[in-house]
Amino acid sequence: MSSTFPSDLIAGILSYLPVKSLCRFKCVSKSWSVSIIHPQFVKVHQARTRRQKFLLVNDASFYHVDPDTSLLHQELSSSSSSSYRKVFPIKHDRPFKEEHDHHNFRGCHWVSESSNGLFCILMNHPPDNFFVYNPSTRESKKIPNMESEKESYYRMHYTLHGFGYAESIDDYKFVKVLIKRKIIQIFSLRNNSWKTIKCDFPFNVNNFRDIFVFSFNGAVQYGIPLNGAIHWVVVMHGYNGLGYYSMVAFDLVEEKFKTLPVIEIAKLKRVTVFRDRLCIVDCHDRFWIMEEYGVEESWTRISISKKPYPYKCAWKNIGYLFMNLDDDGWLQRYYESTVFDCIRSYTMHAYVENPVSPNFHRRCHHK
Amino acid sequence: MSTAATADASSSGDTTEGSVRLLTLQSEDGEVFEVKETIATQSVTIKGMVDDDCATSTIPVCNVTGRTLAMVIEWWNKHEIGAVSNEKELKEWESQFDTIDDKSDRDDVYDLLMAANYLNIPTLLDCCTSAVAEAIKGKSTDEMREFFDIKSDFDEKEEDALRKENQWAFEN
Repeated sequence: MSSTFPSDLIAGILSYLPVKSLCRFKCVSKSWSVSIIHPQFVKVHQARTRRQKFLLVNDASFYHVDPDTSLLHQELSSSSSSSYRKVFPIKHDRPFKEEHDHHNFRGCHWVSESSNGLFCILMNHPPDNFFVYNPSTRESKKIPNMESEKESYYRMHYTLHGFGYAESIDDYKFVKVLIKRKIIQIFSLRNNSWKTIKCDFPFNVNNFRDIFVFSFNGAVQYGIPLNGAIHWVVVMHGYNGLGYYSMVAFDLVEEKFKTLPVIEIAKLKRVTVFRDRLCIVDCHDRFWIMEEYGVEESWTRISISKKPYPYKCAWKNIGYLFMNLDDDGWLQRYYESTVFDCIRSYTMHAYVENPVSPNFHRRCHHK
Repeated sequence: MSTAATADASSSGDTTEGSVRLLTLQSEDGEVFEVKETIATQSVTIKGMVDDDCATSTIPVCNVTGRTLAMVIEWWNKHEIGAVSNEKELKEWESQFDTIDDKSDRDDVYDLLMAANYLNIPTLLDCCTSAVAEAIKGKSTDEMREFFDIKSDFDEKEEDALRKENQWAFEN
């Protein structure tokens, strides 16, 4: 009796595998190496598995944290009320390819929120070099520079940056909104090309008080990807001299701006995604999530049962570690101060594992 | 892996049991099983036949041996909708796939997968595919080729290049 597995059953089995196994199994045969990164397979894999991972970035390197496998000591102190887990980040040397020599790696200026498993990363050096990076496969792709477009950092102040995935067109887009110049530059990973469109930014820039700043030094205002759009919070001048918050979203399919309602809060600290919803955190660490996308009445205050994240510790951005997680239970495991003391001064970014290749479409274009 | 000795012990030979109809399934190698309709319709294929009134006589289940069909029916009984499912028992049944080490384990799970596919039983198919995935996730490329009966069509250079690119995935 012949016992060769039909290809759809093989694909079904592979769709349950961790990406590390898949990267190894690309070497099984030519057809496997192609089908494992095929968009159809990637889609099925994403529907099947949502493995939460973390990327740590500091000036020296990238590190990967896999909560499933890098946990060595569960419950370090069983007597303490909180059970900490010790995790061991795995160093990823030379995150970018040869032409962007690792000798030049001086950390990242900006790491986007992850969208469907990929990050967009702006290097400190050389400047203006953006990369799309898949931490799950450790594959990267340099976004080609736009001709005649050499923006220096200080001029980026009125530029919004964002990186996001639109499921309906299965495309990742990197977006620069040059508010003062009234143009939007869009890089499509699928087309491997840039285009420039007129900016339909819904607010008059003269009414800006500020653009909400989350970034390391205020130079890059990065957006929050969700539902095929990228979101930024802007602070507007109010009638009584006080500012008020408003949210703009750039739809990656329509390539148009829209506005979204923000709940009235006194002082915004952070905007993120929590439980697959837009989430805002105020200065008192109170959380609201937008239960129904785009519906003002659906902003709901939620309580985080565990102790909030530690701002005391020296790590930048540690808050977003758990805010991207959809399970409160994760929270406690990661903020014990000795956990990452092997790596100093890093930023931490949560993502969901994805076998997608940032170079898939480029390969297709070349054929 | 063990095969269930009898498939549906509760069947008394009547064609009805209360208001529950019994279906007669015949395996490829001629073994006959009587199964409650409510159970057998976990198979989308059989449900289609019942809905179309084509399940009045013996239903031939081609491509599936009696041994495998018995395992499928054991699965059905454990997953009957409305039945009180015993978590422990279920886990035990599923745990038989925890190790797929030798050739006979591999062939059993292969037969079951093919049956689940042919009879279109989504829950069983999902269970088997995820179990196989769990069992093979740590395998080497050579072990994978053996398991799936695949010949490498790379030339040496190509394979080396690809291995180099994914070197980290070969490390522990």
